[in-house]
Amino acid sequence: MWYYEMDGAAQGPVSESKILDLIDQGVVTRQTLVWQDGMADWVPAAQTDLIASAGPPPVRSQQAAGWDPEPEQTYAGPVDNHLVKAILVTIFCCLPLGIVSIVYAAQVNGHVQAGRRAEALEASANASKWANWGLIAGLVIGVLYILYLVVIIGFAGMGALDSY
Amino acid sequence: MSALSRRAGVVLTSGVALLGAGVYFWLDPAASGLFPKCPVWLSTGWFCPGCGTQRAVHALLHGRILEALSFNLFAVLALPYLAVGLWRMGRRMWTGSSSQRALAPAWTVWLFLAGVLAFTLWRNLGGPIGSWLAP
Repeated sequence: MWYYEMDGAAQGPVSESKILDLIDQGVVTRQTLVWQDGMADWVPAAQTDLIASAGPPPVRSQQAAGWDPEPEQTYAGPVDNHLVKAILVTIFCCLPLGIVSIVYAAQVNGHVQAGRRAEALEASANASKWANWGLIAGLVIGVLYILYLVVIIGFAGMGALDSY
Repeated sequence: MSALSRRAGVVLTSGVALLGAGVYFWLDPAASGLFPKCPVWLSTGWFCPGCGTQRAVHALLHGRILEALSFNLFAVLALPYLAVGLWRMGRRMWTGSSSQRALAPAWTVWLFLAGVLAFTLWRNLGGPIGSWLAP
């Protein structure tokens, strides 16, 4: 199972065939950081055998590359701690999932501060995952609740008709 | 994601939020039976950190800030942070940029977590302050 980095957050897990599709679609590029179990740290996809098995690397002229074919070896973009989502889940969905997400958010900030990028991305993925579960659970409960209201009001309406 | 679908998402989310604000302005969750009850409170009898948010939103929309604070102190105090965060999130989605501010020191988030947990515990303990913190 692979994880890949997008907009500063870890995505995944995805299967090997899925990530090869993403490489074909250009979503995961040679510079995209990827990671799988057993790897010490996140590395650009170009340094794994994913790119080799996904077909030849793109041809680029040395002029276009500015004499620097791998400019993003040490990528240092932002990492999101997803705290806004975590708080929304805590106050609107009434579920302890938001609290779990806040714990991971705090870990993201700590890892970023200490320069532990791989751990930060992993904590970021967890913060996002728990908050998303909370949002999904909240939405499902909300939709079921609305259906329940519709049924109750429907029965009440029929009862009112019966009494005539 | 294409620019169109990202922007459609922003417009749709804003629309749903406005609609929700309208519902919570016109109907009072304390008086109407239409609003969902907190699943944690229903199943355990304990107040979760989110209990009272619906009534607090209704009170806030009518300008009754003290009443909103006593329904859910945490939700009302978190609102400015949420507003700024959601605005930035929406702007990132709209423009498709991944630019983001540097993160705050970790201890601020741990302190925030401790505050949320203390608030949750205290509003369940009762007493003069606890009953004000309770929804």
